[in-house]
Amino acid sequence: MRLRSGTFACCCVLLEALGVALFLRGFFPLPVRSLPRREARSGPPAEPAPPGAGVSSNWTKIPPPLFRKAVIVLIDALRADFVFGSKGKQFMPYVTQLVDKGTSHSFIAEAKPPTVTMPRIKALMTGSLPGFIDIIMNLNSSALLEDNLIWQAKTAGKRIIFYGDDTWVKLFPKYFVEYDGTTSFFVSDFTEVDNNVTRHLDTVLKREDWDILILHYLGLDHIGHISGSNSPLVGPKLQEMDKILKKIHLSLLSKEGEASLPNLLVVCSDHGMSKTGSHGGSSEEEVHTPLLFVSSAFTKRSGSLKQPELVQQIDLAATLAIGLGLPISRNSIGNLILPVIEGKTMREQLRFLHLNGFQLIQLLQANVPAYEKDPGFEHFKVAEKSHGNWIRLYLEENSSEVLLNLGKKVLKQYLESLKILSSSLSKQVAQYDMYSMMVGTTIILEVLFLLLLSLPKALSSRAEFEVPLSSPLFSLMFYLICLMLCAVHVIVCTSAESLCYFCSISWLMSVGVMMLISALMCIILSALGKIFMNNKLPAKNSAVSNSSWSELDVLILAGTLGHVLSLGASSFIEEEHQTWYFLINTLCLAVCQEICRHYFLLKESDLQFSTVLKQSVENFKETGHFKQVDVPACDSKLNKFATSAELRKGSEKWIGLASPWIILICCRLLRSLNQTGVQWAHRPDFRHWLTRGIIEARFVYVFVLGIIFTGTKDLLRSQVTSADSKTKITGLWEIYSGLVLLAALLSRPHNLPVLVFCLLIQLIMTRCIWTPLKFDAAQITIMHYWFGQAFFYFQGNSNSITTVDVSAGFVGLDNYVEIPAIFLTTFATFAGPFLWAIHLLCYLSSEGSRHSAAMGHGCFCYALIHSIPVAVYIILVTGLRYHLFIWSVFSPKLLYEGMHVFITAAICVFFTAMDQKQSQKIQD
Amino acid sequence: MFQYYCGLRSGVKPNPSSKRSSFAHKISRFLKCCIYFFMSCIVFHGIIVLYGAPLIESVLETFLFAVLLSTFTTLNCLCMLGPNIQAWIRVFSKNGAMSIWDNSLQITTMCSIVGAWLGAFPIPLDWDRPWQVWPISCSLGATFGYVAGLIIAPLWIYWNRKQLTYKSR
Repeated sequence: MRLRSGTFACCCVLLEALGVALFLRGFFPLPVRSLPRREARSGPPAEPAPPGAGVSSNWTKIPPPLFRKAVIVLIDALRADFVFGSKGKQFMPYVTQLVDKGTSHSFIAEAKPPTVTMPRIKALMTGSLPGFIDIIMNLNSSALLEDNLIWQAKTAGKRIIFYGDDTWVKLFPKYFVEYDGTTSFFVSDFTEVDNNVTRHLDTVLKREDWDILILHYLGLDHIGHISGSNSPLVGPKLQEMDKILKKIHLSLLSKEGEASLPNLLVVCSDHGMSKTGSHGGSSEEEVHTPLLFVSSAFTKRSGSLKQPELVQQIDLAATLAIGLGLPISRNSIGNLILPVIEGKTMREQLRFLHLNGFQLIQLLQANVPAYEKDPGFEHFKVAEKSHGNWIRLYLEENSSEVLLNLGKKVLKQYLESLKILSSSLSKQVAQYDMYSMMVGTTIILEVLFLLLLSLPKALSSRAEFEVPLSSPLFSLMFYLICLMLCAVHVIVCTSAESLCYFCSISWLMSVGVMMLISALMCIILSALGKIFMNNKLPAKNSAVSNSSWSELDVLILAGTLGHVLSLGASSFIEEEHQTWYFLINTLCLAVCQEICRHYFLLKESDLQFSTVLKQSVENFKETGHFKQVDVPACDSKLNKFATSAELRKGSEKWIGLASPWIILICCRLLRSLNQTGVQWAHRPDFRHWLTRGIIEARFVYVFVLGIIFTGTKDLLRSQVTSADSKTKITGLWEIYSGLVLLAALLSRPHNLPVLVFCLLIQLIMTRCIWTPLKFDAAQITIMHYWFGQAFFYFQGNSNSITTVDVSAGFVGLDNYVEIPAIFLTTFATFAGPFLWAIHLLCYLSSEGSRHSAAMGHGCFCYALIHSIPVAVYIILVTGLRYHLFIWSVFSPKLLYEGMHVFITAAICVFFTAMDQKQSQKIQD
Repeated sequence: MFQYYCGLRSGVKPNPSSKRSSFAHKISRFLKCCIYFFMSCIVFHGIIVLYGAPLIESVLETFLFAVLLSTFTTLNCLCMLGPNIQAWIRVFSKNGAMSIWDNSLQITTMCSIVGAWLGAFPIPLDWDRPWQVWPISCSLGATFGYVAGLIIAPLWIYWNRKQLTYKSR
């Protein structure tokens, strides 16, 4: 089958996108789950039976609650040192006094990354670790179907009231008897958003018709986003929070008099905030949050506290469940925080720990096939046995001294086993679906090989080549490989211990994928065979091509290889923008050298040319004696012409020589506009946040759509009526300008200079560098790709999820609408690479008249240059999947790369569509 | 290294031009060389800043690094070619070398610049070593590159001695 290289590259990238999708599905594991919630649940475990007949414990029910009412105050982005550090002492006097001398227990709760609100709320309420993939769902938080604390409380008949972030209302619909959601959408508002919560407090605290009150304050998080953690606004906000906490605590205390059970006040936070005020990563400031239990049930603290103990954030769910007398939710992997129940009798304490351990064991049984071998399981069994012995002694009423000592020993055993169990369960979260990953990787690698093998032919002047399709498809080998892979599939799927995505899709589709893999394999083999056959005949080609490599080609090759290699180190991924800035700087210098050579060599040839001219004029003079009158005029005219041409050439030369330097200076300016990355993120940059009007934005949308519509119309007309290529080029430029306008609308206000410089550099490049120097399409494509990458970082993006500008998805929208929001956010994030790719398309098609194969070459190169890092990165990530930074550094980068592949696929399809029309026209 | 320079100098300047072409002329050439050297320092400094070096803080270190780079590259060229732009352009354009000295000049210059370029790579790594501080690793890279150039140049010339046919002008 004959294919044009553009079409071929397009097919390859689409296949690659499929492979990447499979890989991503396998790489991001689903969180640990037990059986669905609705299924019948076995009742709560009884106390472990004491050995020996006759005696048995009669305590089989869930223990009664320890607290009557609970108020949970969640202050978004409250960092641990805002409470326990110097800021806390200064701005939160009441809380500090509670921590130091009050009846309270204080801890530092460690949140697991991603430190974003919704996964953290899920973690707090279910006690499980939400998978990394939850971050993608962060925007459209649908109802939480897992077993959770709120659901348990609701089924136990507790009345829950909620005020605060409406994420909760979406997560737990219909669970609250009364709620008022505030939206986190208007980030610049940090007073109203909290007043909307506080205004209910006075009435609610007087009422008696509730059991649990949950408050979620967003103001502090908004302040962090606007002006960072050292902002002067933080202090007053902390004071406000302190006052609110004081009010709640005093009102709870005043009610306690007649009640039998004490009340509980919990102060916690979903995540901290980094120095710049953002969150999402895994730095200590983002991960450490305060956790404060205040109740009159606790003993009064004497003397000030040293460093608070470190616990996990997920421990809160189990502790609260015990405290409120509810069953621990099934997927919780947290441990009971012991100090909270320390005031109870030894029997109760042991009972609580046994409940917690029993729930963890059940979760372990549901998730690990070989659970008996788990050290946590063994520990727990030992502890359970000694617990039984303890109960026998207790029922026989031995002396309290012996009981206490023995009880302490059992307690220690339980705590140890709980710790081991919860660590082995959280390891379970990081289990990869290796089979799906392998299948995805195979497809990606095969596509890459195919692209590399067809490189020489695809870049030949005809830009089309024969893809051996029919012969491999009907060969014996194809069927053999296919059969073998299917057999492997069946074996793997029947023997798999853990869940596997690729096994769970329908068998028709999996057979289709298997056939695809084997077909690609056969095509690669036959292409290899062909190359070997050809190589034997003419062996000189390689030598010729080697010698014609310029410095620019060497640089491009070295840069691509260097970038690919740098992906193996986590710091290079964090600082990838540095790599790209470095590369484009070097590229500019190399281009500068090329320009120097071009103009100086040209000058020499010009000199020769003018001397030749002069000689001819001399000859003319000598021979043309009879036309002596005309000669001087002719001579002067010639001179004038020569001088004007020289002048023009001179100015062109100087502009050409200056252009790389202008570009370099632009890049240097842009680099300091947004300091991304990790190590140098503290350098000042000019970011600030503004809200944008909805109506104005819609107005701009209308214009963008209009421009794009006219562009598309021109394109279609040029195709239908096969008019001259000018219509098509105008159409393309119109689409390009429409997209530029859209990017200008969506980007943050301080990023507009990036866009301006982007256009300026494109202009300079086109006018002064590419057109006069006549680079070939491949080089231009790779330069476009590099600049696109650099602009991705100039925009302020980085390889961590924190920098995704979610607010772009809301421009011109009243509330969250899924599809436009996803589209707009993606476009705003990848605006740099996207604009450069479309510019490449416009440029190549306007140059198309000069060189017809340029579009095909461009498409092929674009596909190849992006396939190489993706393939290598996927292999690297597979190898490094147990790396310490896998979730904080490598996975976000993987998500970015995956998204970029889909965008590249879209660009290549667009390229091919344009190319197709052109080829049709040529045939016409 | 200094001896090597002197050797080169005495080797390259075989034209005593007999006339003892006026002491003043020599002085002016020397001054020109100085100015060129200083200008090259400035240009290197500019390029380094364009590459992302901080503009204001640690400006002295950056400038010293620029001086080091110019010592490895411009000073050699000044010694060998003199303040003669045309000769420079000839030597650093493709196939412009006219003697083994030109070749060795090309190689050492390229090696020191590439060394400095490569020296920037360890900076972003989070190893927290003292030598990762700007611009130590780059200076080390440039120095190692220069030394490598000094070693490579004779070897390369020896290796390619058959192919080297210089057209005399």
